[in-house]
Amino acid sequence: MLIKLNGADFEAPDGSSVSDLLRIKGVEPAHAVVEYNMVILKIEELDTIRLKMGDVVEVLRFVGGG
Amino acid sequence: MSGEDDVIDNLIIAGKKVRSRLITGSGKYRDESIIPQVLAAAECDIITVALRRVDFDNPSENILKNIPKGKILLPNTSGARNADEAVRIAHLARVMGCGDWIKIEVINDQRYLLPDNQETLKAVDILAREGFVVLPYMTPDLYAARRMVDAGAAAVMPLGSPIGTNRGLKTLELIEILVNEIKVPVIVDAGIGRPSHAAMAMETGVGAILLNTAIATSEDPVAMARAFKLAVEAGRMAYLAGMAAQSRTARASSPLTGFLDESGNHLKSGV
Repeated sequence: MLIKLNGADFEAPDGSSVSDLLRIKGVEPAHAVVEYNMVILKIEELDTIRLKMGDVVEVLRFVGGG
Repeated sequence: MSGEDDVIDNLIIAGKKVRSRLITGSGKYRDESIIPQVLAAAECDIITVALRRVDFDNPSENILKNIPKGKILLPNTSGARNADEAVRIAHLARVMGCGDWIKIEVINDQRYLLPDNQETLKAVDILAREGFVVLPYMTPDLYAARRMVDAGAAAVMPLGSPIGTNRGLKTLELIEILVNEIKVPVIVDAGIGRPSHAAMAMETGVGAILLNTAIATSEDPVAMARAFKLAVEAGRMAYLAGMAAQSRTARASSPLTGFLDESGNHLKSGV
C-alpha cells in the first residue's frame, strides 16, 4: 500500500506495522521518534499500529545542530 | 576569594546548577567522531542538537552516540517558521527521552537567519506551561526579553551577530542592557567567532556563551574548544573581580615620587 514516508511516496507491505516499517528501513526505534498522521507515537505503540493507504509517517532523529 | 575553584561560580538555569558557562553545538563537524574530544576539551555540560528526518540512506546515523552520558541535551527547534512548528518539534524532541530542555528557534528570514521574537514568545508561553525548560533564541530587545521571562523562559539567548557569521558582538550594547535588566541568565547565542569575543561578552556579566560554528569549523576543533573554555572562564573571573575603571588620560602605574632627581622636572618637561 502507498504511504507518505518522510515526504516521499513509499510502498509499504500490506499489513505491516510501524515497527515493520522501521525494520525495513533499517531504523533503530530507540534512536528515532515517529509521527503518525501528525500524532507522536510512544515506542510501545509502534508494534500495534497497522499502516493503511495514505498514512503520513515522519521518522525523525537527533542530528548535529547549534 | 582565592584559588580557581572559589572564583568560578556556577550558572543556575531553572534551579539546576551548571558548572560550565560554555554551551556548545554539535553541528557542522566534518567528522562527528571528534565530538567527544571537543566536549572534553570544552568541559561543557550542555550541548545542543537538532531534530531532522532520518536519512534512509544512512539510517543508523546517531549523533547521541558521540555525546557522553550526563550531559544536558538542549534540542533546538531549528526549521520552525512559526510558534506552532516550534511546539511540534519540542514535543517530538521530548519523546526522544533526553529531558525537557528546549532551545526555541523560530526563523523565517533565510538570508540573515534572524529570530522572530513574536512567534518565539508564543512558543515560550505554550512550552513553559507544559513544563519544558525553555531557552529562547532572540534578538536582544528589552521588552521582548521581559515578555519571554514573564512567559516562563528559564534564560534568554540574544544573538551577538547572525548565526554562523563569526562576526562577534555586534549587539553588545543591547546585550548589556539585558544583563542589567533581566533576572534570568542572559546567554549569548550565535555570532561568537573568537575566544576574545566570548571573553568580552562574559566580562559584561552574561551568564554563558552558546557557540557552534567557531569551534566546529576551526582547523583544530579540540584545541579551539579548549581556547573557548579558557576565554569564558577568564571573562567570568574578570566580571566577578570587578573591572578597573577606564580613563581618557594616562594614570601612571609606577609611583610619581621618589625619583633619583627628586624635583621631578624630567617628567614635567616630558623627557
